[in-house]
This record gives sequence, structure tokens and C-alpha cells, in this order.
Amino acid sequence: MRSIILSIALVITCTVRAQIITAEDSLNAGLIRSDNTTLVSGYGEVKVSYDQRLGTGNANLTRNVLFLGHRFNDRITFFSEWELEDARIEGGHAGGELSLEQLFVKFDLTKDIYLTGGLFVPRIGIINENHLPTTFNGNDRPFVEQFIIPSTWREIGVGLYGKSNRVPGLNWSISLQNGLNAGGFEHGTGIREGRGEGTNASAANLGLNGSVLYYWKDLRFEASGYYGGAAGLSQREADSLQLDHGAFGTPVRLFEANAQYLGENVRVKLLATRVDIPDAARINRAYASNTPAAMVGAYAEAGYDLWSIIAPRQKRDLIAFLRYETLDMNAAIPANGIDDPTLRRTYVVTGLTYAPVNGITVKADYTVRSSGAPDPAVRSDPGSAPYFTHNGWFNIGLGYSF
Amino acid sequence: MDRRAFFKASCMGCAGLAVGIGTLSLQGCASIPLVHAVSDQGVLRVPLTSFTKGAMVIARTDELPEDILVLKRSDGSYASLYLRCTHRDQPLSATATGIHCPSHGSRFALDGAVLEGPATIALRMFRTSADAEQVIIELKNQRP
Repeated sequence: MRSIILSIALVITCTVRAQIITAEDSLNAGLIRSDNTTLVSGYGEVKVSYDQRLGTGNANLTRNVLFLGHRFNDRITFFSEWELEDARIEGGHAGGELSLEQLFVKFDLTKDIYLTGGLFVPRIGIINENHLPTTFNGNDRPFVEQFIIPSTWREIGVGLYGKSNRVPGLNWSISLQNGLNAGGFEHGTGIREGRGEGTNASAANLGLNGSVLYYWKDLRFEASGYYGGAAGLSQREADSLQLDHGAFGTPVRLFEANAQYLGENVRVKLLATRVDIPDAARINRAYASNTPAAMVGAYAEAGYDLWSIIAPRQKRDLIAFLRYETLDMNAAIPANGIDDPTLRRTYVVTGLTYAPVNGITVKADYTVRSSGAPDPAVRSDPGSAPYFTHNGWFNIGLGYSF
Repeated sequence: MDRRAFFKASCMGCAGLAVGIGTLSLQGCASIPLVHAVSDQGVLRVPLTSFTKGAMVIARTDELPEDILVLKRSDGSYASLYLRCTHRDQPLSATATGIHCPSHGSRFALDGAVLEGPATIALRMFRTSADAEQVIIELKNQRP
């Protein structure tokens, strides 16, 4: 408790020394040159879900994120996001997480290029960098971007971002961050549990990411790739586990491409991604994690703004949408892996997203998940909840960002 | 459509889009001229000759951290938009039809209005006029 009070006091002490403004204040104050200003904003979401087959419900404050930024001068800016998941953290109880989702400093090198250093989310897919709940349909982020692309995937490193004036709308990025930890890979979650997330991650292995993003009329295209080592071990440990160590030893490759059509009333999203883990057999031998050699996923979503029909002069959105997702977390398994049909899934998500004002969304959706039947060899816990190969969830929720 | 066919269609679609991007980049996307403008007591001047190739010019000045998009409207008047996102102050990417934030996805119309969040506030605009030779942008005067 004392440490919390001290932390709050420290924040207050720091902020009173600077000028604190909201985005709206900055506009009204006309602060074009805005040295030494601090910006506070945030986002969050709450969700109530009903499991059709189990007949159970769940109400959860999924996350609340506090953004705190500070501009030291016109070229150097600090960004941070403090995230609290599941409303509270209590000693001795499962659930809840307090984490720094991002913490980096941005250096504007030129008008077209800037560099970031610290803990940040690289540009991979749609959701990883742009995950505010007011920007996607449905109460859950697309499942492909949770299970195949482990959003939000943040690591410590440096990133270079730029845009082209020669080709309007063309943007690019490259980043070098700490790599994954193959020892953390778990069956059923792909590479997700191998992320470092800024917590004592190995810096002996690295992850290299690059992206190209292009806007043309109402279309947005993006492609990105990742190549990184997943064994930040000493020579002795690596030899013992028979893994390749070093910057890019025991590699993980990821490729992703997506396109969006952002028309006045119609919105369409497409994304396809693939992850390859060529040394999966050796990872399994070392850690017995049943790591796959390849995972694939794709989704397509279409939405239409019904408010444009109901009251076209009002600036509101009521988007009816349908999303189809398919993913295979066992697209290729090594000789020492066990196939798990429950990791071949399709999701159909349909619902409404109502935005009475920009920054607030009220969401309702119905999600259907279909998969193969469980194999007792990999799901043998008799105490676990029954697994249904076909199940549906009714979800309602609220999202905000400011 | 089965899963394999969907993957194949997705990949083919993305490949097609990539080819499309390249083609469009080469054929249809004339660059927006970049003009280095010097500020004189908070006033930027952009030569009218900069608009011979199109109705948009990017004005760059040491006075501001980000560029300014200067537009020639169909009625012959001019407008200036500050290319900094009102959400998290990120630099914006301008195209012939709109303005985009690569970081968080906000979109703005060419009049500065928010088309899509997370930004909730319109882009800043500067008071802009023109004489016989130049477009005059008053950096200290933002249009309401």
C-alpha cells in the first residue's frame, strides 16, 4: 500500500512540474510548438459473455489502459501505456495483470523518419499496433491475431519508421528487438508464451521485423515479416539442449499481409499470416512443449454502417459486420509432435458495433467456434471443462478511447 | 470454402494486391511536391508555381515539427492542414484522397475532419490566403 501511495505521489510530483493537457486542450490552447507538455489519455473495454453450450456467463473488465506521454521538445517524445487487465490483482488469486504495454522514447530524426527506443509493439498485422477497442468490430480481437500473431506483441529494442514523399501514402518500418524464448512455448498457444514483454527477456537472441504500409484512395495495404532467434542460451545450455543459440539460432519466421477497404459506409478487412518454426523437433526434444513446425491463419471481415441509412446526417456509426476466421496451429508438426485437432479452428463472428460518438463503442456479437475433436493424448485432464467442437458465445461490451 | 482454399484465396489476394500496389505506384500516383518554406515572423510563403502539377503541396519548415499539407480547392481558395495526428501526435501520411495515421489508424478528410478514430478531434488548420504569386500561411493563426 505504501509503495502505491509513493508511486502516486511521484506521478503527481512529476506532472505538476510540467504542463498537463488533454488532446482537446492542446487544440484550444493553440500549442503548435509544445515543448515540455504532458499528454494523458487512455482506452479500455468491458465484456459480458454467455457460453451457449456450458450455459455459463462471464463478466469482466477486460482492460483499462492509461496512456501517459511527454514531449520534451519538438524532436523527443516519451510514450507509455499502463495496462490493468481483469480489474484487479489480488495476492494468492489467479487472474489480473498489471503491465507496461509500451514504454518508449521517440526521436524525430527528420521530418520523414523517426526512431523509437524502449518497449514497443512492432508493425505486424492490423491489431498489434492498432488495438484500441474502438477500432475493431466484435468484443474479441480477431482470433488469428491472438493465436497466430501473438498480439499485443511487444519487446524491447529500437525501431525506425518512415514515410515516402515520392510515393504518397507509402510508409515503412524496421525494428530490432529482443527475441522469443522457445522454452516458454506452450502447446495450444503457439509462440505467445515465448514473448519477453520487457520482463528480463534474453537479449542474446534478436528479432528483426520489417513492414511496408501503403494507402491508396480508400484502400490500405500492409505486409510485414519477422525473423528471430528463440534460444537466448549460453553455449553450455544450448549444447545440453541441442539447440542453436546466438542472435538468430533456433529461428521463428512470421509473414503477414493484410488489406483494408475503408469506404464511407462499407469496410472490408483481409489478413493472412504464417509462422514457421523449422527447429520445432529440437524444441520439443528440449522442452516437451509439442511445438508445431508451422501455423497459418486468415480472416475476412465485411461491415456496413447502418446509421447511414437510419439517419445519414448524424455523425454516428452502427456497423453490422460478419467476420470469418480460420486458423491451424498444427499446420505442420515435427516427427516428435502430436497432432491436436482442436487447434484447427474456424470462427464466425457477427454483430453490431454502435458508436454514438467517436471514441465510444457499444458492441454486441455472436461468436461461433468450430474445431476438430480433442485427442486424449494431448487433452487428458479428466478435471478440465468439457470441450465442445462446436460452440457459441453471446457477447456484449463497451469500449472507449480518448 | 474449405480452409485450404481460403488460405490459398487469401494468399492469392494478397499477392494480387501487392502487384496492384506496385502497378499503381508506378502509374497513378504522382508525388505531392515538397516545398521547403522559410518562416518570416510566423508566416510561410509557398509559390503558386508549386501547384502547376496538382492541387496539393507539402510545405516543410523548421518552424514546425511536422509538415503542412497545402490544398488548392476547386473554388480557387487555399487551405493548410497540419500533418500531426490529434490522437497521439504522430506524423500523418497524406494521399490525394485523404490523410492517414500509420500508427493507430485514424483517418482524416482533406478538410481535416475525422473520418475514423481513434482520433476524435479534427486536424489543425492554419489561416491561409493567396496573392498573385504566393500562398500565405499564418502559423500563429489557426482556423476555428
